[in-house]
Order: sequence, then structure tokens, then C-alpha cells
Amino acid sequence: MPPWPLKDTHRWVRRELSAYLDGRLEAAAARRMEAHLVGCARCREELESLRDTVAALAALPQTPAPRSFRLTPKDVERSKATPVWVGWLPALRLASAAATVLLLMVLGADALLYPPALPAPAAMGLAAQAPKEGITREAAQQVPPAVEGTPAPTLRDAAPGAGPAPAPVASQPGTPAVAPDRATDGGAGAPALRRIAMFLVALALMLLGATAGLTLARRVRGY
Amino acid sequence: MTGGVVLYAFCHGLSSSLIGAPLTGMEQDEILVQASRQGDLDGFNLLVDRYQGQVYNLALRVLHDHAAAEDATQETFVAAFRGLASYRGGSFRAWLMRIAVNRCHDELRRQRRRPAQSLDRPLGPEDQPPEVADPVAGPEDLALQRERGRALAGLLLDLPPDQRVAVVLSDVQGFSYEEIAAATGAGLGTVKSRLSRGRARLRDLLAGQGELFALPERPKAEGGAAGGGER
Ligand SMILES: [Zn+2]
Repeated sequence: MPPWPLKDTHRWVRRELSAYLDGRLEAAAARRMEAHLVGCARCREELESLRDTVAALAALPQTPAPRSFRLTPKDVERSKATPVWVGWLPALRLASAAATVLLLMVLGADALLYPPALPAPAAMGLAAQAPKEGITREAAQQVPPAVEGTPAPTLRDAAPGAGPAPAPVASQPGTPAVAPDRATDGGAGAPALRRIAMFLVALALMLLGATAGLTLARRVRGY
Repeated sequence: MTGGVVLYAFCHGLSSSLIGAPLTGMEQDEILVQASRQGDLDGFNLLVDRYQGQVYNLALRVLHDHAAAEDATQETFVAAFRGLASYRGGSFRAWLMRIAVNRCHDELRRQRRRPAQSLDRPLGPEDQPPEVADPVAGPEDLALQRERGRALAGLLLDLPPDQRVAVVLSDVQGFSYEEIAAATGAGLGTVKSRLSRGRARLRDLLAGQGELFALPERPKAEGGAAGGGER
């Protein structure tokens, strides 16, 4: 072992005293420690004070348990009924509630705006089958103004806020029952777009809820 | 129910007459864990009986609050029963203590988020549990011992939580380095250094307490070792 500067030896000893007290130094390190302690009163003092500290800790009284912590079947029941993922439930509930509200809004708007128009199942099928292409095609078709005297409905107008565009459509009782993409030709692009957009959002939320629900159900069964 | 009774008898002496040699503590733990895994709550409660004192005292020394320690102990056993499947043999005590240590860290984190409810207040005399009197010690010694215990328990709070946990496990509970490593998820080297720094800091704090512990002030000069350490 190369001789160390005394300062470094002190530092090493201070750091290793605790392990030395526990008998956790390798034989060679312990020999070096002892060789230093013989000649160094400060480090010896350090060792003694550390030993006293450990002794004081060991003398701390063990406090008796204030009560029995035995588990009752109820404790176990509760612990099984509330595993970690239960924390997600509020979020899932919220999502499904939001989906329901949106669905109701969409159906309600559908009934208001298109009394004789598409039956809901057909619209659903359409929304599910032709998602994005439908929207972009309609948006493109909206660019030329379709209704005379009315400002051209822009994509922004098609957003959920009630713009001026839906009014003429709603006041036309005789709108033929056609598929939405053909209905846009007649200037009904904005409501149809909005309807489909809301449908897509609702559908996405419902799918999310269903997926989460299935995952949850699988976990419950596997638990 | 019957299973628990049989296990109880098994672990409390009958084993020696049946098998010929008494079971070690770890072997008993192993049997009780196996039974608990089958859903035998009585078997698990024997483990609770065996370790609730250690879990509670660890939590009390780390959290320095009786109510918080009680909660942490309860949560530890519930979590342990629920998580028995993840116990892979070895020291059950260390496995259990790891759950307890995690509970304590959770509680300390919670306290740090809500400093208004900090539990820094010292445990009052009414918090001190009845202690088993040392038959040799006179009443004065007992009072001094009690006062020391109170002061020391308070000083522990000044250690960083990791060092506090290591020091309590080692010097209050008598855990080996290996058990501390298992109970804290740290390596042996980390355990060693946490103990070294924690004890040294505690020693300095004790020295600052004056006569109560009669530890020498940290010597400043080579010749300044004016007879404190010898007893
Ligand atoms: Zn030295």
C-alpha cells in the first residue's frame, strides 16, 4: 500500500470508521485503520464518539405497538376491492358522460336540423365508414358560394357555434332525404359538416371508453 | 381457521416434537407466507404479530409521529397481504420492511407537500409510551434515559430521510447491511455511506446537546482531546 498524505488518511479514516465499527472493513483496510488509530488521538476520539452515538441509538426504547394490526377479513376485502387502477374510474366516468352528452347533442341537432333526413343508424354507419375524406371533400365543395344572398359558409362557420348557415336549411321543410355529401351540393354543407364532426368526436370518445372499459374488465377478471 | 390454529401450534413449539428440530424464524416465516398465499388470514396475522412492533417502531422513528406511524403500519400490512405474490423468498422481514420504508417515504413526501401539517413538533411527554423499567437503573437514571431517548428521537429528524432510514434500521432495529440494502433497494456501498454520514451527523448533533449525552465536542486541535470519550 502506498503511503498516503496524512490529511488524506484522516479523511479516509473518518469516512470508514462507521464500517469499521460494524466490522465491515476488509482485513487490509482494517489493519490500516488500526495502524492509524494507534497514533492519532483525534481519530480515536472520533471513533469513540461514533461508538457512543450508535450505543445511544441502540438504547432507544422500543415502543410497543399501540394496538394489534391484525387484518380482519374486511380489511382484506377492502384491499382487494380498491386496487390502484380504481383511481382511473372518475376519469373514465367523465369520458363516458361526455360521450353520452355529445351523442345526445348530435342526435338532438340531427332531429332539429333534419327532421325527415337520415335515420340515425345510417348516419352512424356513414360516420364510421367515411371519416376524414368526407370532411375534406365537403370543405372543398364549400368554397364556391352555393346559396344566393347568403355569405359563403366557411369552415370556421361550420364549427359547433350556431352560425347563420344552418338557418336556411332548417327553414326548408322539403329537403330531400339524401346522403350528406349530396346534401352539401344544396348548400347544407355547414350543418352536415358539423354533424359529422361531432359524430366523430363522440365516436372517438365512445371507442376510448369502450377500450378502457374492456381493459378494465379484463383486469378485474384477472385480478 | 383450523389452518391457523395448526400453524400457530406448528410455529410455537409443536414443531420441535414433530420434526425433532425447532424451525428457525425464517423457516416459520416461509410456512406462514405459503399459508397466507392460500388466503389463510390467520397465518398472515401470525406474521403481523411477529413484525408489527418492528414496523411500527421503524415508522415511529422515521416519521416521529404516533398517528402517522400507526397509519403507515396498517397500510404496510394491508399492502403486504395484497402483494404476497411478489415475495420471492429471502428475508420476509426485509421484504416487509421495504414496504414499510416506502410507506414512510410516501408520508414524508406528503408532509413536504403540505408543510403546514409538518410533524416537526417534538413528541410530548404524553406521547411517550410506557417503557419497561430497567431493573438496575434508579429513578434518576430512568428519567435521564427517557430524556435522552426523546432528544435523540427528535435529532433523528434532522437527518435526510435516506440516512435516517438506514440509521434506524441498523442501529435501532439491528438490521445487517444486507437486510438494509434489501429493505431500501439500495446497494451495499450506498448503505455503508448513508450509515457513515448519518451517524456522523447525528454524532455532531448529539455533541451540540451539551451534558445530556456527554459526547465530546468535535476536537478542533490535535491536543484538544480533553477526556470525553472514556466512560
Ligand atoms: Zn487521524
